[in-house]
Amino acid sequence: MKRKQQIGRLIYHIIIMGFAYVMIYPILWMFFASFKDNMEIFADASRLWPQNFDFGNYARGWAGFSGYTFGTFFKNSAVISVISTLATVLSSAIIAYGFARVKFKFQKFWFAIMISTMMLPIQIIMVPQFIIFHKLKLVGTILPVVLPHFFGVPFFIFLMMQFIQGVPRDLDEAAKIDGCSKYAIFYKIILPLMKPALVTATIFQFYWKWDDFLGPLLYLNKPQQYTATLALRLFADPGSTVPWGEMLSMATLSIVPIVLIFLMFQKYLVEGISTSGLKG
Amino acid sequence: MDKKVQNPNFRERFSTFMDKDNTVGYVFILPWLIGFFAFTFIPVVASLVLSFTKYDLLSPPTFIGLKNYITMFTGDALFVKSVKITFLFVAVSVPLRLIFALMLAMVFNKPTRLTGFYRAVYYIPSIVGGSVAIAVMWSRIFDSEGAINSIMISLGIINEPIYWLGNPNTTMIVLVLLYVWQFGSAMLIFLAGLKQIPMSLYESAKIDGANKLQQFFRITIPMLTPIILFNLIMQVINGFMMFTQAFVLTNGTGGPLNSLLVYSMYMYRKTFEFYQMGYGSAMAWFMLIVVSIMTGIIFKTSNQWVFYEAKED
Amino acid sequence: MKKVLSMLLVLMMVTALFAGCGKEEKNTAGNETNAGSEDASTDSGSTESTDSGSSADEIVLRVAWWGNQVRDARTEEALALYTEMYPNVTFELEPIGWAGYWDKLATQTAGGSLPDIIQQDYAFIGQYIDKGVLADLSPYVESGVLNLDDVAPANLEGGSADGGLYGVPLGMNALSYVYNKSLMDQMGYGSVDPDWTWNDFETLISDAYNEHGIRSDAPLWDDPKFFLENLLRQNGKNIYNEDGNGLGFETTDELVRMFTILADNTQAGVFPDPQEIAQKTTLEESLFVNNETLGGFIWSNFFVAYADLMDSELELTVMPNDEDGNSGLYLKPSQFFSVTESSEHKEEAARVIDFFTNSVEANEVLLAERGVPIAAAVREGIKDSVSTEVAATFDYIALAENYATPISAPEPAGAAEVTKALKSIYEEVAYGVTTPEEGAERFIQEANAVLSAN
Repeated sequence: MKRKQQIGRLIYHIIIMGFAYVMIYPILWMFFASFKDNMEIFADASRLWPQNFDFGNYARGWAGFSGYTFGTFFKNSAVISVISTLATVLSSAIIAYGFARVKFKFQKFWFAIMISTMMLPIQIIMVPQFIIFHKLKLVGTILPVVLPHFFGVPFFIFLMMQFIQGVPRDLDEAAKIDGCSKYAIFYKIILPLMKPALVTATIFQFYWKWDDFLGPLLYLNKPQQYTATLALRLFADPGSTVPWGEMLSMATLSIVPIVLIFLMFQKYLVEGISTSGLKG
Repeated sequence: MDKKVQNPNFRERFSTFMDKDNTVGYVFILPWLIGFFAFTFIPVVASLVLSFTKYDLLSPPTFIGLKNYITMFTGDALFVKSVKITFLFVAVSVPLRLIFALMLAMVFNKPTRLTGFYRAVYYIPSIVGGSVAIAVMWSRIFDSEGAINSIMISLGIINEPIYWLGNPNTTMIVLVLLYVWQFGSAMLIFLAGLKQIPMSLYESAKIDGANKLQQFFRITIPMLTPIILFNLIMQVINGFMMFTQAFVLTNGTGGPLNSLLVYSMYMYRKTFEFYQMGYGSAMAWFMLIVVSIMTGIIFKTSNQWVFYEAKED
Repeated sequence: MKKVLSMLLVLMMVTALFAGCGKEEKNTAGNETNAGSEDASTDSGSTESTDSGSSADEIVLRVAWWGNQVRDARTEEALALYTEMYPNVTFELEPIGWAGYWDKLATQTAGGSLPDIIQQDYAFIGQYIDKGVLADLSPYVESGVLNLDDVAPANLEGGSADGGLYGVPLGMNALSYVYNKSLMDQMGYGSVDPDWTWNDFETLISDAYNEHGIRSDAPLWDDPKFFLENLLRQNGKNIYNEDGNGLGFETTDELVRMFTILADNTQAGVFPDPQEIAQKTTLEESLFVNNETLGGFIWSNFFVAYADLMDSELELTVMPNDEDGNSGLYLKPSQFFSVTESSEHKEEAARVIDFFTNSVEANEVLLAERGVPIAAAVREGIKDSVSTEVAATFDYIALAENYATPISAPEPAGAAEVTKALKSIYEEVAYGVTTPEEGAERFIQEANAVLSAN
């Protein structure tokens, strides 16, 4: 029996490992390509390992633009992403509870509106939104980029709603009997049980914001405010040769914080919900 | 009638008010309401109005009624093509993404020593986002001397390299693979959903003699349906609105013979390359309507197959 | 949990405060009218200027361009030189990449938040001029603030419309034929004679293929509009008519000729398989750079990029003429600097442009990165400082000037769509989906449909 288990486990690892290699291959390719020079990147596309390791790409790439290094750009990205993520997760949780657990007039109507706002493409909304922010005199600051996050993000509101609906109402009932108001129920019962949803939202929102191009493009005018993602696009000019190695090196570095956030938070996905709340 | 006090003081009235369901509901969704009216409502209405105008962004819009919509459906071959391409894309990639995501989430739900590592590896592709780096990466792999061709030739599947990005018939495969490769986010959501299923359910099932398969179909899937619903809807919406991957993969050109001119890209082109924002807005609203209908249908059917632990009384 | 939440809230507030420091530029009471009053140039740009006094002479100019690391650094240095000369003028630099530049510019126009000086491109400037977004610089030329005496008038045509000047070229460009001299030598052919004709061209490329197996690039694959335009100009015609509401030609002659050259040579194998062309999207993987094709038509600016990548010897020559010796060549501004109508410091902006145009010192920094400078004195002045490849482009422009005829007026609205339509059909012809005749008919139809909306 044990032998069978061992073989089974081995096969499992082989398949998953093999598939994992396929999944990660492009990223590996990008990582190694960041050490190659332009011609080599394109000349021998199937080779992973570089002929020579040119670390210079990282130094040159880091130098950035207009006197600002990628240190500045990464810092800007971090500030924007952290603020947005915190704001999103907190506000979305609150709003989601309202939609999921409370009955109120026009609830379905507002829910439908909220879902519909996800279906309008950003390219069409961006011009009127820009005009609004321009009238509010916020263009040129990071406020247009982060402010909307304090008011919930429909994707996460919806996500958290689905998670809340997975929590049995018995707990709510019990708390109500104990005299808790809806507000207290949210705070004391629901929120703690939403950990997986909160963690997922954190991971996602962080990297979405990190990757955001359109917002920083339109609202950040000075290079010293630019985010890493925005700066990365500056490498590619159609009129001259693109310094691929430098661009790839900074792109590789750009992935690191996101992976770190993921690794930091994913352990909360490992723990299941403590079922102690389900006594009785 | 309960007349506690002759004149209930403000504090009591306030807390009764605050505890009413209507109030509570609105208090909780207040942040969204504010944000919606401040940042979204006007742009949304504006875009609808603009869809009835000719607007080149550089000068004020002029009203032209339904002209945009009429042209869209009767006089624009590229519009029709982009709709077909987008539908095809969604029909293929959404199911694939969901299946992979669910499968791998199940696999990674049982912790083994390397699970954390695997999870990260399978998730990383989805965070590479739409950077130009992806396009370079992906097109290198599908290059005439790239990994895919090398493998297929050495396995004897083909004799000569395929020009994956040059052949209008194969470009969709490259795009779909790129998109499906990034299933990590959907997987993570499924994982979170799986984690939320209380162990006690499985334990009692085991005691009752249920085997793994029965547990899967009787416990896992039903408990997971709210999340499945979420992922299904979000993947459909995102699939129809997909822009960055196609844009970056084709360098904005839409691929050979416009084979990758997905709807969003054509809309973007009309708006920002041809300076026809009125037309672009009309396209946006058409997509909104189509996607809403599809979403609505999914929601309607969800009553049959989605199981909410917390059933409404 | 409660503790964590409150900690998070505090953290959030702190980071919000932190982010606020030094970046907030909430303006003082300014009125906002839509495209009108530009309050951005009197914005609290004091983060950049050295002295925060509010003397009436303090001017801050916002300058936007697209580019890359090299161009950004050089432009910044050149602008710094200007500030040395005129300490009361400082700049807010807004460089971004090509990707997103036009989205941002269009959005800023709609929102009324444009910079003072913007880089412009010939393909788009027509529209911006048409809608009054750009300022007419002729008053400053007349007053001498913007001195264009050293510039050949032909160079300024591209930025002119209705008697006004709306953009000053930062560099000149022309179509050219670049070819691999090493390969030519191998085949035993000499250099290309600048007086060559399209027939000579077709002979050259088919001989190269049939006798030596060397292919040639399909002409102007990325933008066949320039191919069509060249053929039309040789016959004295233009793509667009004067009013911009229709095509400038009625017969399909040039279109069919163009498509036929493409179709016949693709079928014969002289031009590469379109799948291969479409697959190899970057310079580094292109067939020419890898010594697999003899040559192709490029804008002379690109010569530097090719030369950098290739070890083989390269040569530049003019586009083929028609049988009567007519050339379709013209000098095209590679980019312009324009001043926005909404700018509140137009005169100062014009002076900055004058600096870029005439100052040898500035151009020693810029080193013709944007194209061949338009002022003769500048060209002379920096000839020794530039690399051999760049110098080669200087020589080429001098050669092209002998053949060039004036540039057509800036393109009308809808030009982008017409161009894209042509490219689609060009591809279809190459892939064998459409015949040259069919393609020509369809193009005329589609283009007129787009343009008639003007």
